[in-house]
Amino acid sequence: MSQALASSLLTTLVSGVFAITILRRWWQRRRAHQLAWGIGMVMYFTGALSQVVLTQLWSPTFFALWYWCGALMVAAWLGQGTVYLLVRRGNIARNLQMALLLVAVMTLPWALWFTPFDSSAWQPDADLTAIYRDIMPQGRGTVRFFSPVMNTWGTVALVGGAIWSARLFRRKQIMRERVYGNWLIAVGGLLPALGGTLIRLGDPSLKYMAELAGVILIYAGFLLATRPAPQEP
Amino acid sequence: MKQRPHPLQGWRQALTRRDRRLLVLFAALVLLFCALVLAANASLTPLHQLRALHDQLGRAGLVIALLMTAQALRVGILRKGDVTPLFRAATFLVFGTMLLQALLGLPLYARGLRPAQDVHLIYGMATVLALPFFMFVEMTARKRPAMGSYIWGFALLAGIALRSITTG
Repeated sequence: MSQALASSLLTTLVSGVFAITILRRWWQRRRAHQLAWGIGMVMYFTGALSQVVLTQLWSPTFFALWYWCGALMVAAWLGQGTVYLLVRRGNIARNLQMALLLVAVMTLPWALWFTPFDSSAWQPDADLTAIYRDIMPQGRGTVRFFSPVMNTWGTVALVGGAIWSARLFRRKQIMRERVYGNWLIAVGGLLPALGGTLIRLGDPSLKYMAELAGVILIYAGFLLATRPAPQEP
Repeated sequence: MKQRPHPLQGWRQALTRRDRRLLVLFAALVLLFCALVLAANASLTPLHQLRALHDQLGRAGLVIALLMTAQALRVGILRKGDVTPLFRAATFLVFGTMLLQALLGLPLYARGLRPAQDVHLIYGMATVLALPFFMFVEMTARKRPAMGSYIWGFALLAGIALRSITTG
């Protein structure tokens, strides 16, 4: 089993469990930030699952889903969850949500049906992060234009929000678990973005491991940050 | 304790007689614009007349979106005011115009008058969807004023309309 397949399988497993955990919490409490994070994790899961499929066979649908979920939606939805949690002023969070939904509705059919793919660049067990530029060249008619915008925005919101929360709890000297949890979320959110940056700089080898480490750290941070505070005796 | 009514309660009734007249005037201007475009292209085939109408309504949509963004900025940012019933009704009218413009593109596509780039279809769909998303936020908002939704909506509509024109 190749390293790409193994890490993609593990990422699929962890993100799937995380998605179920967070969506169950949303079902019980109906908080908007939990729904946004849940959708973000479903995107993470779908992207990783598509990655697994694409290591074995070529499918334009799974390639489109891999790119749409992994490169366009994951960071933005996770960041949106943090925006819902932290930005309470006016209707800013809801308006951002609608802008994100609009981009999602636009880019999904665009990726699925309107982006030309060159399947000759694909081969079994190939590292997708190394060949995706050949499969989907940059230029007119591709959705790659949205990728830096969505990722930058999502990562800044997720990581920035987590750091801001960690500093806030630390300054108030309360809920130490939340301080550590938010730091884990911040590092976990940065890792996939760092992998993406390395791809852009020409070294794609770390991307799969960064994805796996990222989702594990975010999950651990989420569990730690949302653990109920111990009762005073 | 008396409960505060929702800001949207009876908003249609809240339209004054002057508002209704202005709305009728806006709608008449849109229809007049369509008639003028068709008359100016009377020498063309019906299909090409439709294409001219589709193109010109797209350009009008861009101008209207920019004007509405400016108005939303003036009311929302400078005056810190809320959405008036007239503004909301005018937004419905703009949405209707964008829907008409997009629907006109369907027979053109079906009859072989294709856009320069296929993504024009995506932008066309987005020009129709841009406003309803933000109208939903504004119309269900408990936090007032909520003019920010229309600043977002019309600014995005202007950007999408511009991309739609350049790919059409």
